[in-house]
Amino acid sequence: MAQKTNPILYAFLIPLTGAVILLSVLFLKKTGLAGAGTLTPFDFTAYQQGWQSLEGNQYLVKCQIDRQINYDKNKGRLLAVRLLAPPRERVGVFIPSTLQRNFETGQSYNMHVLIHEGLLRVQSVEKL
Amino acid sequence: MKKTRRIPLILILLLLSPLLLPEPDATAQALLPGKQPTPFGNPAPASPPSQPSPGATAVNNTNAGTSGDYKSSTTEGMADRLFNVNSDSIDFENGTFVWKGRQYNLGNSRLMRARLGRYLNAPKPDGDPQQYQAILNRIETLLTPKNVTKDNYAANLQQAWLLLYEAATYEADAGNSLILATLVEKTARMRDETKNLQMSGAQLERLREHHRDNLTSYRRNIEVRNDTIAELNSSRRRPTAKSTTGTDEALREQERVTSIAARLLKTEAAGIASALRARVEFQSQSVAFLLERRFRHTLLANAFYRQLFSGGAHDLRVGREQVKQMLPISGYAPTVDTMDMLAREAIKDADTGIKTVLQTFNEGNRYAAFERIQETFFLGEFEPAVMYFDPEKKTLLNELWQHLQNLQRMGDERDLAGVEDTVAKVKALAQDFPAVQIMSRVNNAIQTSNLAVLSARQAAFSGDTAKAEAQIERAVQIWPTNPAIKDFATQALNHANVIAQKVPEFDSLLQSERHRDIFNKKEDFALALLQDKERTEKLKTVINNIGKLDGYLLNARVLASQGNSCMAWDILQTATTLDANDPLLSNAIRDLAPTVAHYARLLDTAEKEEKNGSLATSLTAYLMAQDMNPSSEHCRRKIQHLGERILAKIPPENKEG
Repeated sequence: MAQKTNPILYAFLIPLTGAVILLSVLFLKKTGLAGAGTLTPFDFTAYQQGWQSLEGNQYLVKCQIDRQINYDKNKGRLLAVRLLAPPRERVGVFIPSTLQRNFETGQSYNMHVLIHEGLLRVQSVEKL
Repeated sequence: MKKTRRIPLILILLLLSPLLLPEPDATAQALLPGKQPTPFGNPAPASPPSQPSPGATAVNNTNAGTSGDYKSSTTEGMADRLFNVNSDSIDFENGTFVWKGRQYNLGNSRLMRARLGRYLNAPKPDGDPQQYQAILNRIETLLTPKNVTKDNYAANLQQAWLLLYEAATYEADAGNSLILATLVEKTARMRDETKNLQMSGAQLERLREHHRDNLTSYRRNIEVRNDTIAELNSSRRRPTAKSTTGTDEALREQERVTSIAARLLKTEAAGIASALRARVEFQSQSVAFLLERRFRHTLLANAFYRQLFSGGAHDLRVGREQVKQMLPISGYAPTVDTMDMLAREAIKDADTGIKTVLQTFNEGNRYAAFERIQETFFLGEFEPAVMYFDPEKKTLLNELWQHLQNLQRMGDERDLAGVEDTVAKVKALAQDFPAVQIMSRVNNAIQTSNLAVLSARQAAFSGDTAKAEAQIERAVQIWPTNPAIKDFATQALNHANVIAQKVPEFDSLLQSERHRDIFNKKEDFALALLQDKERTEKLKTVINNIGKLDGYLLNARVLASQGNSCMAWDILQTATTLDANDPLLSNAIRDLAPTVAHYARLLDTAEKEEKNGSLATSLTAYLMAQDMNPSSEHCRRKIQHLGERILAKIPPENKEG
């Protein structure tokens, strides 16, 4: 015997769903990864063969924190990260101090990077 | 028991008799009266065999072949205790041999050595040594007092005298028996002369008695006549007058008696002189035999002496001082028996010496054998046991002696290298030679000399000429033929030329950065540039760098052999900072490059990118290289360095995103 859905339930679910969608959009906007889904994965081979051709491009880098190479509180930190995609090499990435996050060895991130003078400058990160 | 207690007392008294009793007037009894049909016709032994006491017999038995006089045996025993047997020694420098405190002069050192060398090279003397020995023993036996009686005295002496001529035919005798035979014959002739003198004396004595009786008769007749005349004169009352009848005859008889007495005295004096001369001559020859170390002939001469002279004439008239030197007893009066004792002791020592030589030789201890044969030779050179020693063994000992002489000469000349070789030869011949001690000293001397040369070289190179001269002088004193001294002299001579050649060469090599070539000639350059401080500093830098570089090369080689090629490559890369043009380093890099091609390419890329200013990509390349070689210090350092440079390029006010 079919049971009819209570209209009151719809009345609650619709605004709730809208609110969740709204909050998600706000969150993504705030973390900078709002357009991550549209970023091209970082091509390490192309970078190695000629970074000049990638200059100014933005990429998505899926990586694991290897170690910190250098740190300046006024500038940021230089990390060595290992790419999660083949060839799983390590590259250096710069994380500006404005991106106030804690990074620890072994943590995995999606990083939105901009290539500037060959350096992978992190625009935003998403912890995996 | 009483006899055995008396014997020592008798022996002691007899032993001390030369000290206690005044010297006997032996001259009158020196020669014995006798019939003497031949040289030995007088059956009157000097020491007639008596019935010895049991104790004396025992002593005689222990000295078979001796004079049979127990005085000698006792003296011999005592002498054994008194002799300093440890004083035997040979002094080659002065050419003397000391045996039992008595020094024998054997001539100068060269002759002494020559005699020993001649002996060691000489073959055995002709003749059978046992037959020769038997003849000598036979003579001695014939003259032994216990074998001589009144009946066989002349026969024994005659036989012994004839055997002397037989002994003289042996080469080993060297004619000494002939000398003794002649002396014996001469003594016998002297004894005949003395006997004739004694007979003349007896006739004179009888004549003197006859004239003395006549004189008495004349005197008595004169007195009777005077008494008769005196009675007649008193009855006639006349003055007294004496008769002179027979006075002249009495005076003549008186003169005859006086003359005969004078002749008698002269005859007696001539006899005494003749006997004394015979005794002195015999003793002189006996002492000469002893001092010449003809011990067997000493014994024979004494044996004849005992038979030819009375028992009271056995004290030595000649050679007393020489014989007394061998007996360190104050106031001791040596006799013929003393010489016997010394001769027998020497014969015994020589025999023992030869036995010791044989034993040590057979045991392989030829050095000890050589030392013993030297002593034995100089003591018993004329003993049959020494003369007939095995020539083959003598040849080996002679070879050893030649090496020892060379060793001594090299030691005198301080030819230390030669000493080393010769010691090895001696050691090969004589296992008991103390080579270790000698070589220890030689090595010490060599090292000291070498150190002095080294010190001289250092002093010369630092400009201290005085010290260099002193050190070279010291080195020469220690080891004149040290080859290092010659090298030093040559080096010093060529020093100026070396400087003239080496300075331009050094400059050229340094300019063309051929540091390895400089390093390979560092000693030459060090010597040449010693006075040039600026170049010396450059040389030191080159030597230090190449030294370090060689260390890196060695490490790299070890690591590569252990499979750690990337690490080895790193080390080679570090070495390039010292001298990138070093040929050995280049070779090592070339050899290792195929093994570490990828790693090397990464490093090369990193380096190029860094140079191009692409610090990030350089960093990435180094990170990749570090993955291949996690323990690479080079990568770690570079990564750190690039990290600092990258951050330094980023401005602080840089606001991202």
